[in-house]
Amino acid sequence: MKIKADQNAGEAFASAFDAHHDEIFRHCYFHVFDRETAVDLAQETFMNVWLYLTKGNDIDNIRALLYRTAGNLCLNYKRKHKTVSLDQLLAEGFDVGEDDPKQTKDPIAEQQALRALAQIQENYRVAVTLRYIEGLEPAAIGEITKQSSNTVSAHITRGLKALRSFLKDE
Amino acid sequence: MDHLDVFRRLASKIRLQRSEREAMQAALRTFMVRNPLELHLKAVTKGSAVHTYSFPLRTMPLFALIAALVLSAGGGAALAAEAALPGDFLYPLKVHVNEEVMAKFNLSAEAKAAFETDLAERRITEVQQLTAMGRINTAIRDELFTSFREHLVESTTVAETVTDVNASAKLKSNIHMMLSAHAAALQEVSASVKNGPLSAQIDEILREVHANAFVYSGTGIQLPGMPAQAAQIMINVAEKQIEKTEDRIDDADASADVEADARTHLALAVTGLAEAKTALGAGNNADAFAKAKAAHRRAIEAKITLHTGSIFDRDDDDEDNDDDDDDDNDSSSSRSSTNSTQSSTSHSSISSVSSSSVMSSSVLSSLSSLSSSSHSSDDDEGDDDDDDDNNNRNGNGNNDNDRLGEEIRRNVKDQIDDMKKRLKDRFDVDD
Repeated sequence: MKIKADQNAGEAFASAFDAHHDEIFRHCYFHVFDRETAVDLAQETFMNVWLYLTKGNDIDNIRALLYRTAGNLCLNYKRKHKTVSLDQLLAEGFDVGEDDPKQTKDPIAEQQALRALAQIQENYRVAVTLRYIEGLEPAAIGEITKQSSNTVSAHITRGLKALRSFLKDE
Repeated sequence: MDHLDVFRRLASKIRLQRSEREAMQAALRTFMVRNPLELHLKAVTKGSAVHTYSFPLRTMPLFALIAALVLSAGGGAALAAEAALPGDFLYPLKVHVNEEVMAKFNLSAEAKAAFETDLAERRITEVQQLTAMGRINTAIRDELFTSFREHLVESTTVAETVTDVNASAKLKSNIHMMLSAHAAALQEVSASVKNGPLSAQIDEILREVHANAFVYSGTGIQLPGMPAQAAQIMINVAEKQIEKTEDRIDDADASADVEADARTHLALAVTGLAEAKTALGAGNNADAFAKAKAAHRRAIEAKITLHTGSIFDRDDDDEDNDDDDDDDNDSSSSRSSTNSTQSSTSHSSISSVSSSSVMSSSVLSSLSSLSSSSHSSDDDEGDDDDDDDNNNRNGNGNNDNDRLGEEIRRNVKDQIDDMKKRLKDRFDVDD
């Protein structure tokens, strides 16, 4: 979706928030694997993009920009806070939110999947989560990561392979 | 790979909880208000908004000053503007930037109606604050009262379009709640400052609030000079409803018969409205009020005719609850005539807010005009155009409504207490 920095920008931005808040939150979550931090980062993402708009910049693809901004914020965060320890997460399990018995068919499988995801390479993880959790096509992922769709496809394949090997080890 | 399925499930699990989303939305809203688009600032500085905005003390240099302030202080000014009152430097920023940005977040009809009620309350609170500070004058007061009325009309008309029956009833009871809370609190203050210098001004506000309460919920106390006010407000409400219904008829793809039927009802509404205006001009206030009210009902009937007609036309009953509960402003005469059936058939039996008996008669009239042979005018059947659905819901419906009613009564009481306290502080009244 395009957003022009005109008098309708506020409305367009509000509907972009409605449409994308969950996936941006997830994108952050798969970077930091901590619910609270992901909420903060998602909020910061929307604020940064709004600031970009207020400067009079038009946005061609709001979704891609949101993803990119979120990704950069998460990388910055991780650079500054080395405290998120993978070992600790793996030991304690992942906090994905309140447990809804109806939705939790197989909590063990979910934890396993998260553990495997947390261990694969960053760029593979982004490609796999965007492809299989958000259901984006490689071309759309490429727009976000600024890569060709071939590269994205390769990352997806390698990511899946890596996931499989981690899951086999479990 | 089996785990892909697990990943997909994760997507539905890893999401913002409602509270998180709302908190984020609120934070973002404040952030947007504090960091407005540059073009918004330009609009205010250029005075493009001046046309719609005509409070006194508004001059070009003033706008330049606001702009300078906003640019130098950044978003802080927009936040400071939240507390601004008419006549303050930052008031235009409050109304034209802050409130407009907030409005953008209310995409659903429900949110929009609730927001309009908030805005109405903001305007009536501003009058009270200015009065307490001794900064009120007739022009500002009239301006704020007009805006207060406009927001209330907008809120009611939008609440009419809310699909969820309970939500719609709740929205309308919120208007009622807000008005009665203000009326009760003002009444108390008015009694304590009797014959004081503020007395006349407070009574002025009280009269406006009562007049609106009278129109929107049939309650309120008759005060000197009120009938004219109430009639004028009722005319505004009817006018707005006619306008909206006209748009609907224009947009709807109903069959020619249904459209003609709806237009007949609407024409009656238009005639009634003109008569009401004439009566008001002649000083016949009570008559004007009654005529405007009848015109309002006609307009709603036109809407229902169109709606019911389209359902039958399209044989599509998915959206049938859309407009079927909305007649809260109608005459008490029909309320008494079908009183016995009301408790068993009404969706929204919140005390003194909705009278769906009027609804049943208007639905009935539109139904019978559609197919006079197939529907007899049985009171028990007329309430809803989807009888099975209605009957199924009745078991729970009354409990829900009782609960809703109880909740609303409690809320009203809390709000009144709170408001009394604030008003007393504001007007320095001793208990």
